[in-house]
Amino acid sequence: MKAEVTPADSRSRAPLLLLLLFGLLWLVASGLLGLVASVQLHSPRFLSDCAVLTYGRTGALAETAFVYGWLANAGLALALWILGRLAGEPLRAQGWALAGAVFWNLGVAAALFGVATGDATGFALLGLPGYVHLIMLFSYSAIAVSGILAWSGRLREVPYASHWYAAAALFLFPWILSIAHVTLFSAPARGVVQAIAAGWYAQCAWTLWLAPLGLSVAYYVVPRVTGRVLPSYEFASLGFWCLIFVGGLTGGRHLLGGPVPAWIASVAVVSSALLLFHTFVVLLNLRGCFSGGGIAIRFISFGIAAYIVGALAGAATSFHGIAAHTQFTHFDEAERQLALYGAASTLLFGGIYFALPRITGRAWLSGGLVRAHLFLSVAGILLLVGSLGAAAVIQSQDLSEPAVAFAAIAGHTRPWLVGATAAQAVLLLGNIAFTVNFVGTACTVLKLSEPASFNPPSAMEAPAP
Amino acid sequence: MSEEPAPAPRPASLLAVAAILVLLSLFWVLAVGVYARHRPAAPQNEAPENLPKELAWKATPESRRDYLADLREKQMNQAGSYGWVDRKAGVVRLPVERAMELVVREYGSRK
Repeated sequence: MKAEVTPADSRSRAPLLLLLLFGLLWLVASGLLGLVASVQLHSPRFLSDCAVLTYGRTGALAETAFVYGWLANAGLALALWILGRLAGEPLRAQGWALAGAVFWNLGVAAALFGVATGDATGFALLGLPGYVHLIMLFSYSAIAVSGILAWSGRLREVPYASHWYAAAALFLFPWILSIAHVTLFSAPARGVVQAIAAGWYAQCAWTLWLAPLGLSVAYYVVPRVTGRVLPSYEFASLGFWCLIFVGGLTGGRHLLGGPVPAWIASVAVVSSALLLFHTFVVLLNLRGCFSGGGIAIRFISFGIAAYIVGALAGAATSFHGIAAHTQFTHFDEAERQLALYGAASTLLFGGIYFALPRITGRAWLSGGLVRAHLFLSVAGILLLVGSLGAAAVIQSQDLSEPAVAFAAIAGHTRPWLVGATAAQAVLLLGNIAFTVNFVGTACTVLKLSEPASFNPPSAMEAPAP
Repeated sequence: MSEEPAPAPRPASLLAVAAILVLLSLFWVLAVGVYARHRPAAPQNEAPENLPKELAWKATPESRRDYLADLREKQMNQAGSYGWVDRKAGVVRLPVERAMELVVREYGSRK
């Protein structure tokens, strides 16, 4: 029987479980904050007397906890796990990763405290106050040490696609954070350049950091679960380099029609269209996930579908004619939720469902909670994106009618925003179920002292619904 | 089923760890330490004595407040008093209230 738990798994548990545990706690916290922010969007008086929990802060708190708490911790844990497995040995410099994980999460906590007390920056995906950037950078680098050592000590001279994406995310985040810190905080650009820099960071955080973390998981898990070589794999490197070179240039599409040089928007439009090549390659390589079974592959197939739909929507709305209808509406929020929740988060969910049994050597504690999480996540994301999309359509139609007052527009979109709140509640329930199941499963490792290797692969999979 | 104990992680040399940390923080050092330090400071971040005369008013909150007060006083005087704008061309300045009266009279006399 082939061992499913490798030394890379069993001797690398401490930093991986710590990162995942932190990530899940931030996921639940961001869900609670997101729910409050969503209620305030249609019922502005809700908690309006509490300065810490007013809409401007709860929205930034939820986004920061979700991106830097959940996605970053879980993405880093899975990237380290994948790189360690592909190196064929336990992670090295685990002490650095552990210390980095602790300081990264202290940084997130400090950032949330700063945002709650009024230090939010107002920049999309960069709600972190400037004073925590340095601790975030160094703690991220400390976590990345283990991953880079595993990458440099890989068994195969020519790395796999999962290698490329994981290593790219490790290397590129410090770069984009450093550039954003200088241009927006330490020597802030003036006037419109600040909006350009903020747009660039938001797009890079997605295309050069979060998306590669998610794609690394998909490229690693899909061939192992389906048992088949990825089709058209020779195109994977082209898709990767397309994302790296073109991804960061698409940030200007959010500035269409704004007081920025026209070439910035034009470059962004062209880049958005070029990025479809990367999307096409991802679909070509990973299309096997749509016919696979098992809980991990269900999440990953949903994440890949959301990634592709999001990329198509992003490319379509970068054109002036369509942007004229979608700009300044809830469409931006729908697109963001589709990317962050629908794509990145579900890819990481799939990765965790695949990785945790191998890290702990134990099957998931409760099949019922696994099925509940899948159902609630899929239903919640569809309801959330659908509700925001419908609200955006109504908002767009109303905004083009000069006779319709803003108060009336808010009234027309209210039912759909209530739907988005219901979706946030559904997602929160699913994430609580996931966290309970994760903690229960991880705790079995602490209770049982015997080694947990050599479980049959079938026992590692949670049952698919 | 017997099982060989999993090997312990190989130790990482301090030099390798330091090299990775330096590599990842290099962007920060270059961006913050070099670019930001040598970038010309905005007038509001510069000492008044280092600014040219025409920008000196931007140096401190007090100097900006004084400049704004002077500007408003000058504008109020211009908007409420008589004076020459261009004596040769015969262009004068008159108080806004008086100008409004003249405009109303002019338009009222048209048929």
